[in-house]
Amino acid sequence: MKKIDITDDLLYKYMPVVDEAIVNKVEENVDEEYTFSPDFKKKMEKTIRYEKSRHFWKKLSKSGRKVAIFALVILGFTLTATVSVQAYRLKFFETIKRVFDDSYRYTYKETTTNNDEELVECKFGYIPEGYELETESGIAIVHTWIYENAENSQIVIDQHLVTDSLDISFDSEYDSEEEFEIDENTLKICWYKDGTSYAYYEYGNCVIVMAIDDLSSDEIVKIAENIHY
Amino acid sequence: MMYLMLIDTQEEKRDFVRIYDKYKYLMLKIAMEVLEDQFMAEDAVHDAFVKLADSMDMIHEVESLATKRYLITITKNAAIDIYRKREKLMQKEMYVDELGENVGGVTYMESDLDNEVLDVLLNLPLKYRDVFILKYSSHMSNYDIARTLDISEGTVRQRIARGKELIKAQLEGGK
Repeated sequence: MKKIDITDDLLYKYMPVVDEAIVNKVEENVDEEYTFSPDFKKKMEKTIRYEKSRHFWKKLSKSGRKVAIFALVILGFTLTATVSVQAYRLKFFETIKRVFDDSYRYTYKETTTNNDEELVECKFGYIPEGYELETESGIAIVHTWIYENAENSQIVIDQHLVTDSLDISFDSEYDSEEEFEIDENTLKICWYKDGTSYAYYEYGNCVIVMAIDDLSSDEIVKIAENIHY
Repeated sequence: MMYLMLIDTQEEKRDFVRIYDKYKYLMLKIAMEVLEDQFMAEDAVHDAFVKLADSMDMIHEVESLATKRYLITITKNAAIDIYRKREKLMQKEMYVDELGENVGGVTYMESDLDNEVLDVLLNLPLKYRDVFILKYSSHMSNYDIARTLDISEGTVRQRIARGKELIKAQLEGGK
């Protein structure tokens, strides 16, 4: 009786050949004329959007570039269907929301004539423990802070001075949302299944948008509550 | 300040979409072989893509043997899950161990390897063969194999050890 040693080397040599033979056999006679059902196509569109969102957040977190990449939004912009238009009035500006298939967009109309033309950077009285400021950058109408902790989780905060030309789009394919009232303004947090989120908060004549890898809603609320000039 | 807009242009289609476009029919075929029902097979294919969406880190190249093997594996498992639920509902006995790729009539590409060894590996019981393929052809870690097959790492190690014993026994003319 022959003695055979079943080593890893032998298996690494032989298994790919077996694998390829099986896969080649399986690939024979695949029906590429098959028409998937409408139900399947609809479910897949949603799954594709979900994966796109995951892909995007992974890129943001792992990005070694300390640039103010905010990229909340628009995964596959479809402008074909405007579902609804809402307009509501706030102190310094009017916010107009337009809803699309997989995104929504805020545009703004200044309602006061004495808005500062330059952005006054806000300050954060609270940033969660462990997070350090990695990057801060800004131009006349927008300022960005990127905080990061030892686990490479980021909090990216944009402060925008509202002008008539400001236009911010957001992904609407998130999984859940929460709203909190802070000093008569609403903080909206939109959550994805993997724990990432983004938050939107109107503060004075500015808009604050946060992209967050890994914080609880309590922490996000606390950041917003402690914003000041 | 820059807003990064992810737009799915033809030139920059993500791997996930490319995989969907390229392999959905193959995955449907796998699912149909298990379920023999097109709507259940579609459900299995969708379940497989949901799993893939959460595990795109397992994909390195869209067009590779390892990717095809991974898709075949997760589709087969998704189909078997649906099969189990269906059979349970119908109160039928379940023999799922051998549901999988039809291995009849394969052709080996390499000609200088021992065909006897290749045949023994080919005809391993599926629960061992799947683990061996993922480890020794797709070069997955035991952790990734466990994640792919929804089994524990301990089970992976056991199947590798037991599988090697079976191969040795077969080749040495044993049981």
